[in-house]
Amino acid sequence: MADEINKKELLSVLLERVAERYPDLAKEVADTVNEGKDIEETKFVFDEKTRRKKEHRYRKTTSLSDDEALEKTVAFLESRLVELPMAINSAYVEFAKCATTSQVQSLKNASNADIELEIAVEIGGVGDIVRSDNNAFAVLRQIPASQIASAREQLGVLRKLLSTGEAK
Amino acid sequence: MTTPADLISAIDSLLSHPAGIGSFALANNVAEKAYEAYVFGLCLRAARELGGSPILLNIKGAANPNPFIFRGAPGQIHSVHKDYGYASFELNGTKLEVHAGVEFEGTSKTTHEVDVAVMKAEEAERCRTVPSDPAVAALIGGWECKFYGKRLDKHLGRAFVGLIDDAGTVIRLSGMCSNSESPQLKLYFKPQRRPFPHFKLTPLNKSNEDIFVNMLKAELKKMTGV
Repeated sequence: MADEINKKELLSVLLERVAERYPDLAKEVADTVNEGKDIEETKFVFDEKTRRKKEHRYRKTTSLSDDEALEKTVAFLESRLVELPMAINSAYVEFAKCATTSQVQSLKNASNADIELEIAVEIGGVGDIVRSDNNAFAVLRQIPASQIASAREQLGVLRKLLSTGEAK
Repeated sequence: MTTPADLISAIDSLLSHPAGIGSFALANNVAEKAYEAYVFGLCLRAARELGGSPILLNIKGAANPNPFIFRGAPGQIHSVHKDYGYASFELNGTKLEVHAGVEFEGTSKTTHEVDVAVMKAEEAERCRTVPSDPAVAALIGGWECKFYGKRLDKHLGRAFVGLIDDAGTVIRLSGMCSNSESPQLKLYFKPQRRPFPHFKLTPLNKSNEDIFVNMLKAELKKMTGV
């Protein structure tokens, strides 16, 4: 079939598609794939003392196989689509269990008790004078469990498609 | 057999998924800070499981700040640049605080950023009143947090070990927390007094979460006698 593609092409399509939407993210994924892996190799070397060949183990960095590269790419996407939203939700759960205003009335300016808590990350820092919006925050969005479950499901679909890509 | 069309459709569904790569890809530090918030939350859990009642505060001392703001870059504990948040709790009469992205002063007088820290409240209060960097000696626990899609770089571990070394012998608990892992760093952290490798610490791995929480609880118990 003309439109069947091999694993290397699958990886290339995957990375190109990510790059079209999120160039920075694609660069991170490419860096992740390009870091390769450490493996242990064995070599028999002549030992001067014993006058015999001796097993020598050593560490070696090597590139990923196409399958490993695909799996690493999917794992990267999983970290962003599943792990990160779950981590944010977990933080919200723990923060929400903190003592409420009524329990800490002795503290000054206790406020906002009735408003749903938002956890925010400052964009930039104290020394940031280049950025135009000095009050920029990124509010960490809680993600419904159903959406996380659906992301996991779609990752499963992607994994399946990638594993059935036929090697030429 | 997979066709390009199948694959493109599957990828596009994922990339536009409401669980959202888009919302976190906008700012490089957001994913990392979100992970700090997660580890911060685990510290709150440990305090609560020991019978403490953590309170969320901001730099001005107001309770339940909304939004609760995490620093975008390492900063001073006394900084009022923004209403940065922290948590306070008490165990058996000992007052403690949880902070994120705060700089501590080492024995060499160099400052070091600690991503998430549990520290003595007395020192935190002193440094907010008379602006200064808290001494590393005030740290009960300090954690480096890295949310990575890739393998952890060795230099991260070396830098953190340098910090621990500059803390002298007083720091009770230290660790490197990450959703990722590194066999090389695991080896590097093996010797005594090196940070604990809290690798694969994510909500997907409950047992690793429990290890983190239980280690902190054990130290807090020893320290406060709860």
